[in-house]
Amino acid sequence: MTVTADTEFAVLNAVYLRKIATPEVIGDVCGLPAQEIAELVSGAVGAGQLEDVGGMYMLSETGTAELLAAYRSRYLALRTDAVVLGWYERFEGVNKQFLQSISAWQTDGGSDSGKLDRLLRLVDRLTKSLTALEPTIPRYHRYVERFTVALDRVDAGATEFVTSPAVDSVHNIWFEFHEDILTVIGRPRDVAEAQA
Amino acid sequence: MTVSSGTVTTDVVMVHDIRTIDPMDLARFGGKAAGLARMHRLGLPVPPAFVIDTEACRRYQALGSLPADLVVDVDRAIDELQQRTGKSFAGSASDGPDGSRVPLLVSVRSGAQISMPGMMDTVLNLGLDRNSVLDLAAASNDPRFAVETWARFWSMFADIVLDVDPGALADTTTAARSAAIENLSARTSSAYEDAVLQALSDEGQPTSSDPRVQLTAAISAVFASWESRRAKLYRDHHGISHDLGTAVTVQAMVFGNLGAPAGSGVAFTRDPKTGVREMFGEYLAGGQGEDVVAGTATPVGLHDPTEEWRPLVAELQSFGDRLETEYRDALDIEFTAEAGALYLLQVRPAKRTASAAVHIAVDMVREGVISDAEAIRRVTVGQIKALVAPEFDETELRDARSAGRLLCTGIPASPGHGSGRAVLDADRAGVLAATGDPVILLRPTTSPQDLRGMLAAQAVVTAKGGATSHAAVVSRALDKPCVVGCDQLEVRPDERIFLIAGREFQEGDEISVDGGTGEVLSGIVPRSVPHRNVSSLNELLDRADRRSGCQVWTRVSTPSGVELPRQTGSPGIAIVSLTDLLVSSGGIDELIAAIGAYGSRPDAPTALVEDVVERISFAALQPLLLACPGLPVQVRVPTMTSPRARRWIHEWTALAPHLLVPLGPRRLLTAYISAINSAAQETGHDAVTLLIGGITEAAELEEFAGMVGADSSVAAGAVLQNPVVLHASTRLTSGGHQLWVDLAELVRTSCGRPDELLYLTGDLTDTDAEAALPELVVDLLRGLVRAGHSGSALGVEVAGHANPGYIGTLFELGVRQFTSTAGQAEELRLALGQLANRETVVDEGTGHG
Repeated sequence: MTVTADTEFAVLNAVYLRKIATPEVIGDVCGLPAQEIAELVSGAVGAGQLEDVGGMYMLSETGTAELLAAYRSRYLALRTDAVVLGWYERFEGVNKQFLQSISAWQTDGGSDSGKLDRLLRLVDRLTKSLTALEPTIPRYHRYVERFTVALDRVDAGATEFVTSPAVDSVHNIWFEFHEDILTVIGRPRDVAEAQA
Repeated sequence: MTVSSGTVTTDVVMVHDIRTIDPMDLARFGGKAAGLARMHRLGLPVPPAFVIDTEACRRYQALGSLPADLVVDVDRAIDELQQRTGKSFAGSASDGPDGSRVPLLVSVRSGAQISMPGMMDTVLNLGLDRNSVLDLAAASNDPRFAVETWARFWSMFADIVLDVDPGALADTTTAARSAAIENLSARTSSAYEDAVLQALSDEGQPTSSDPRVQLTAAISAVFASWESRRAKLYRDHHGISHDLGTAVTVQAMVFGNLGAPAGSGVAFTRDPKTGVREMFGEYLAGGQGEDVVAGTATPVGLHDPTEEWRPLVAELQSFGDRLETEYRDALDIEFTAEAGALYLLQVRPAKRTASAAVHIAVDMVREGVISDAEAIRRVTVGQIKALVAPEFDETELRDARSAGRLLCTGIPASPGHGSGRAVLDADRAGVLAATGDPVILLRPTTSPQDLRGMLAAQAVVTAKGGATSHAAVVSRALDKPCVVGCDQLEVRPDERIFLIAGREFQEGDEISVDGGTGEVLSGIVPRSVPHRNVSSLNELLDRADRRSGCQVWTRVSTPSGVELPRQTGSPGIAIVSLTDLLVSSGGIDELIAAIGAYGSRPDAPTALVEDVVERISFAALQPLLLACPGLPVQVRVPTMTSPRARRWIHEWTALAPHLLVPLGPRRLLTAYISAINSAAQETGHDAVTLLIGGITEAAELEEFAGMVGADSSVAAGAVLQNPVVLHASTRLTSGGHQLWVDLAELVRTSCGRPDELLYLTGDLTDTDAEAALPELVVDLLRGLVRAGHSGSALGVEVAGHANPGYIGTLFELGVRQFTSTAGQAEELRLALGQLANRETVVDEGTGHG
């Protein structure tokens, strides 16, 4: 069995990034309606790609292998594409600034609105620059949507949407996006972090 | 001064010298300008400044651009700044008497009445161009300083006004900037300016090199940011009027490397580490630009200034006193001396350690500066938590180091101390932690897939990454110790081994992590609560108790656990589970064996049942009572039907039904009662209460009380754990016994949740600050509190960190006795004091900040 449809890829990828997830979380990450998620999840369970662990789902070994194979077949050409690699290199620079400013905000006790503003501006900038990548990787539009939702929550005063791992916070989405693009270009995280 | 006086172009004055404005009119001038005006009125030296008021913002919104007469007025205000400072803005003023010319640089800041996200931040150093940068270099005798000041302006202007990535701008203009620094001349400064303008143009944001045009652009950007998506959303959410508008403050900048003596620094009115009242801080004397760059310039402590600086420091001290009187808080003051004149640049409530926060709050009450209510408000629950968090015992840590147990030192990324079994995989960490074993997650690096493991772990260690890696960010968000970048660490998750400097360790080996120093040690380093500032902490918590009228008891599970509650003045120890004491004393296996013997034969000899239970219970209870003479202690007898009993007692389902009757087997109960009586008598402890758990009707409590005996020195009480028993509230409270509600268990049984949930939910639920109690539980508690007026002591046991949502509900219901674990009890005491503050109608301290 191979992963061909975009929605199948999206569901497996959501579980891959979360390691373990409820159908609701998968739906949030993919931006698909509950009914469709239920069908996709049960299909993936039937195909031996997902395992049901008490109402939550994990990738099986087969599922992991097939998802990584799908990454390779979809994005092999991008792994040597100068435009994509150039975008990625710039992203690493922005990523560094983002992590620095998020750390500065955290170590300040999370009270400095100027520091928060600076880091949210970087998120705005990333979402803008993601649109440049959308023709190549259309599913990245979903990250833009998720960032927008999280930013709205932060602006409404819910500061846990900056870093809390318990909600779909700005840092969570960024962290997942980082993992995603690393998998797209086939670069292990070790190398990326060692360079950071 | 009103700059537009005498002009006919302006019907309303919109540009004002900050010396002339009303510091109370925040709606018109915004917080920043009002703060400057307030300082000016106190006679404090602030650099000259003017403010463009919120009316100008409203007109900007209506017109879509700056009104023409406003631009004229801003120009006049700039001229005024030139006259007052004797400096020249964009080369427009004449040379100084000695032919020199010092450029006027200004800062531009937004300032609304209420600060909000999405508003334009500060632009500094506005006023430099290819010519004036040469003047600045000459005046400071420091070309590097001049060019870097200019580059900093461009970086901020690009970032904030033009929305261009400053990193990219810096990259493309590096060569020209370096050339200007190395050899500053009209040629190299022009080349740098051209490079910047070209780079910005390439980014689609062509701009001007003329500071007057840049100033107008910065002011427009502030007004435009009022309408930014984020600022609008924020106002919508908080019900702030969109008509309020923002003001813009433009202030002359002063530099600590012009003239002599000159320099810059920060002063704290009280020591930010300890809170002791003495001026603290340092300054860096000016005119040593190269030394600053090389890191060889040495800051001078304010307690020991150089001769030249002595008068300035004395002046600073008197300004600090004046400011404290005005702001009624410990402050930090940013200052600069330019050509011998001292300026205060920024004054704000000082950042402080948890220890200093408590010390300062208590001192200021004693000094009569603030009220009790204000003191309680100024300390956060998080600060209490930090103060009472157990840390590695200093002696133990020293011993561990000298025994060679220090394995490696990485980069400290999130403070705190943790110990446990090293686990190299997030899933395995979650599984092991769920069994109650503390776990340290060790990873080569962390990915989003590791989040669940991080949640479950006591601490996180990664081999790679820096202090700003994802692992560090997540650990700080979770308030967990974290060490990253351990170069000598190699983690091999698949082989379940890790290597540190070549030495091999197995997954499951115990390690200890200090997130504050980056140290990783082998084995467990015992922790204890540090003794810092206990007297201030006690005084603050006493004040909080008086304010809330609450008693917060402490739950302990070992005799040594009473140390912290004794230090912080806890009113009593409850609920102590006898089972917990038996676990720590090592008697639990004998108890299980005795139950097994009795279960298989109701007529088992006393030698196998009562004698054993009495002996081990006495041995477990006696050290606890000895550890807290004079402090009330309330102990709960083991419950045969508890989830824990079911897990521990082998083949629980095969137990004889006679063991599972209400109150449990009488033979065991008699043995517990006898043991506690002996322990109380022998230790001379006269405030011991024995509690029965798991009851479903009031009659059981009455029977239990009868068994404990009216003539015994030990009192009887109950822990209420299910809705059925709470329903009988009137009869429960009529006996005058101590009653405790086990809130977690009550909620669990009310909702029919499996008890395993209690062991699996980690920090994820703690973040739900809005968590509310089920309505049924609230109704039952309300009934119990009402019935309780007849004399019974009624307390609620709360688990976990003081959750403001349901603690508020309990407080409103009238619950005034609580118990929680050591540390969390102290947090709760402050939280209750703060709740009582909220309920007080008269608010005594609003002058703060």
